Amino acid sequence: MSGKTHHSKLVLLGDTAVGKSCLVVRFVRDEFFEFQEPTIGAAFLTQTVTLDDATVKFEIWDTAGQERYRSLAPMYYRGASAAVVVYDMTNRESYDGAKSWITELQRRGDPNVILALAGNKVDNEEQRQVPKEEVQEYANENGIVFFETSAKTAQNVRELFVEIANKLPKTEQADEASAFPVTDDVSEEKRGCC
Amino acid sequence: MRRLGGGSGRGARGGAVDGGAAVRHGVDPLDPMATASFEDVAGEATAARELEKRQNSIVVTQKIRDEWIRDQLRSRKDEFTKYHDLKLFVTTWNVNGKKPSESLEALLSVGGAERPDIYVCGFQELVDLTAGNVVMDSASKDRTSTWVDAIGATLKRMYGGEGLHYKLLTARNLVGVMVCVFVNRAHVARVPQLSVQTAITATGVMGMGNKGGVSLRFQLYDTTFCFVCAHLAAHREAVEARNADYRNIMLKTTFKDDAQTLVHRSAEERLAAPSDATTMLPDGHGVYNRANDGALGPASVRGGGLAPATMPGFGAVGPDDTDSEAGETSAGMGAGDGGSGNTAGAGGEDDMLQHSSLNLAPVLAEQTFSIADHDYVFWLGDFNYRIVMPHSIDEVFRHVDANDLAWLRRNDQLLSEQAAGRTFVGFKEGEIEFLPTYKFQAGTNQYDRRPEKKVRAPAFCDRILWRDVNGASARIQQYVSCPTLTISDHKPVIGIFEARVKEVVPSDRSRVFQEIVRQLDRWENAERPQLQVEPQTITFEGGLRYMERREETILLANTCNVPVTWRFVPNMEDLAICKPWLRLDPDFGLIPPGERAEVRVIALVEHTTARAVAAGADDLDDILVLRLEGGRDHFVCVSSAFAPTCFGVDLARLARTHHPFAASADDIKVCRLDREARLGADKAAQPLRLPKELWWLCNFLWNFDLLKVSQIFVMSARLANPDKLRAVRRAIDAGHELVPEDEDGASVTASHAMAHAVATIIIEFLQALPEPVVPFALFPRFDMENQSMDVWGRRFLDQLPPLNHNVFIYIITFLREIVKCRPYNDIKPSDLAAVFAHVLLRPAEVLVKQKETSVQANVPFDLPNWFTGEKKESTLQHMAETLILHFINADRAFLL
Repeated sequence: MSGKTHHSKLVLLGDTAVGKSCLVVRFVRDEFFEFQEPTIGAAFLTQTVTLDDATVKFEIWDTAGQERYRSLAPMYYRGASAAVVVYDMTNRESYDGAKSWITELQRRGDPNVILALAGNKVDNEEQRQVPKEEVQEYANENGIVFFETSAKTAQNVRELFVEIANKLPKTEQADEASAFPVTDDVSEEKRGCC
Repeated sequence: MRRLGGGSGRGARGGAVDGGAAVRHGVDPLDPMATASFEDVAGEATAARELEKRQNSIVVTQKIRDEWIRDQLRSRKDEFTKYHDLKLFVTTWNVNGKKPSESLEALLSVGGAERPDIYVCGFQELVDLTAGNVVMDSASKDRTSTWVDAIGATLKRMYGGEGLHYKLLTARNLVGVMVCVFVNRAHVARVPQLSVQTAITATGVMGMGNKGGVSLRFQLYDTTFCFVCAHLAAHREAVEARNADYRNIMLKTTFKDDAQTLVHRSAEERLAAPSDATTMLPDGHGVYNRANDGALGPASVRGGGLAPATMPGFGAVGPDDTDSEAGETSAGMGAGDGGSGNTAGAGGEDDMLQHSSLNLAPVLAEQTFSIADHDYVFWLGDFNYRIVMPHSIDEVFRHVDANDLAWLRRNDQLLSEQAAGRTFVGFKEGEIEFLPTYKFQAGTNQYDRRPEKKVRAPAFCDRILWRDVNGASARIQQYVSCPTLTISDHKPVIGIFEARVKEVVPSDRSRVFQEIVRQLDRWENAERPQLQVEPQTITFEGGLRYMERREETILLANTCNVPVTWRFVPNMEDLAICKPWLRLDPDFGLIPPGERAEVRVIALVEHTTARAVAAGADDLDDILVLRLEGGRDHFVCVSSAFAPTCFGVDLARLARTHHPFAASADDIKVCRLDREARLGADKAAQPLRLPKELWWLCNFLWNFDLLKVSQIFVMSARLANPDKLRAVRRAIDAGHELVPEDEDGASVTASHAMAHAVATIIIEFLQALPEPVVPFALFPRFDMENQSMDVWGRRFLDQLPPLNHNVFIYIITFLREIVKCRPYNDIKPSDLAAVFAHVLLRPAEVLVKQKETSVQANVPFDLPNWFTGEKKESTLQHMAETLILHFINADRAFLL
């Protein structure tokens, strides 16, 4: 629990209506709303996690899940030190979507990005479509943090973020990777070229 | 090429980006063009970048934030701190070179039955101060061991348990000056091993160790202790020398932060540093002190001089400082200030910190800390202060014999000097209720008055003083001497203290820490900028039509309590904030709380976009990213259908399309059946020899005798009425007949207006072709004047593909008809050639360029770049005009 705070840009990705915003709201405000409006854009919130040996301030970008916005996702996962890909464990399709997100992150994201999978809505066990073992195996193969979570009951929500915080390298470089000016940098770089 | 015209372009993506950047930075000091050209400018730019990095560094911001969190923690320290009152046994004894030949139990049992938690034993003159002993360390080392062993053995005897009760923390000597600390086993685990450090400071002549101080420091729970055992300058008149010795020891003693202690520091920091003052680390300590005095810079400035981490505190004990209370406080503060900013990192941040407004610089000095950097500082030793002069030895003996402690105290040099602010400023001492401890006849309890020896006036040479800061607090319970010990010419002095130590409970501290950061997060998240954005989706009802401007509005309402700075940002793949057919006005702004703003979303599909849409390379969809500075992003989707149109379609497809582009499915069918009925199925399916739209337009002018209209084509673009232009475009897409009348019936004015509109649309139609009538490959490449125009022109016509050939000849014929009407329309053939040359021909390389400029300028009917300015381009223009003019003026036979 050092006095020093490490900054980490974290992005939530995943198909629509899997509960990305709910997870964030649970984590940040410890609240849950049964009807969460779809995110049209990218919500930004911060939340600090204290570990035994460090303090991590997450700068969280909660992105829009609707397919039409997919092309904008790189704006948010670029420069992120952690990405949480969320699926709805009562919806097999959303798990397939999650795997494609992971593939995209592995291909186009930062090579050192910490990847996490969250199988949300685990409070709804009777409607499960995605077996935990299957995902666990996939996560193990790919070195991905995996939790089944429930934004509704708060199950594993804090644990998920704490585990990510634990995995983050606590270096100065990580500190410098701040969340805000991502597109600024890009536009200015490009601006200079012509 | 550097894009010009920040934000001035119509729907200009690049332009808008530049505009936004200009707003943010003012004059751009990092202009890449400038830096590429001049090295010195590059240097300045680097400096500017560096400056900006320092000024806007999130690292510095974060440090300030962290500092605030620590302040909060400190203010709530009672919530996670437990206090323990420990019993301290402190003794000092000048043993006059003697070995421990008598039992020390009488000494070590002072203070009663309750076992002390810590024994601190200081000695002077463990060995005779002969030259040999001063230079060679071995004798004093041996003697140190002897005494330490004797104490250990005595404690074992007293408390039993085979020495299980006390552990020797450490012992250290400087020649004959020695200090050792024994800690009750119950607390041993609470003394971080690496916190135990010692330091020596010799003050004798030539830096010899016959006089000087040995300091020993350690942390117990979360409180730091420093014990200074000293032997100061002797002789009754040497008051100033003693004062100087004290100052020197205070000033010069530093506990070196070697590699080992660095490890210790980082390990320790986790538990202790953020906790509060309790840490013995200079940094944590400093932070705490800073919190106490609430001031940063001044103390360290006052201190000045040597090691910044230690000096300031001693400014306060210097001879100028006469106010003992103020001295105490500022000693604490000063030391604290020296160590402030404990989070200041190493490496790249250093220079940044030095330049920041916080005074974090001292941290970057060598990481040492001093005696003053402790919660508790104890001085014990033979300080050699006597009874003030000029009282005679006999007079002193008289008061001693009379047990007149009040007189003795009144005339004590140490108390006088201290009161005068010349020594031990800020230190406390118990009330002296014992007789002077010097000079006794060894083996007796008698003052040494033997005439054959040097007779000394009895004095309180042996003393114990202490200072507690940062919430540490010690009470002295007994302050006595121990007359029963007789081996030395001094009697030992003992202080029994109750000292309060702090223990940070990590789990409680963690809880409080989390509460603080969570609260901070809550505030930050609650005060994040927010806008209500309406609508989130924009659709242009009925679809966009070629060259018909449409406008929608996005409403931004500030519903939060802070002003919101917003701007549209480009998405990852793009440079521009929106597609070329869109323009946002304004594309950035600031909205105060409770206020609103409107963004006009203007759509205009001109030929670049029309060509792309016609080729299937683009659609009219875009997602605008509206960024609130420090807050979220909003997406606004803009989408529209594109009404079918002939504009932007290539010649081949125009020829294959027999029906009007905007015709309904039913109409298309009717059109086809009608054609088949007229021409037969085979012929009806063949491509047209000329785009019907072009034929309709030209035929209209011909049929209604409008070629005679003054300056037709040459001035049409300026004279055409936008409503009429729109009507003509819609008519040719719908296949409606063009009529010269307006609603009020036919009139010369109305038909002339229509003529100009149709003429303008002819130019527009030709300009929108993805490839002009004269294919890129056939653009004249060399100077035609060098050869026969007839030969060249013939070959040119031969090379045109059949469809292009037909269209070209059709247009040239049409132009010749216009020229024939020169008496009416007053048009010079060269003017006409100039207008048509740049729509019938475009050099391919210009196409690329033009695409770019249209993104920027995006003005319809703008002259293409190759018609303006540059010499090379004006040559191209000249060649094209010459070509067209040649055909206009040629014999009719030449065209056939």
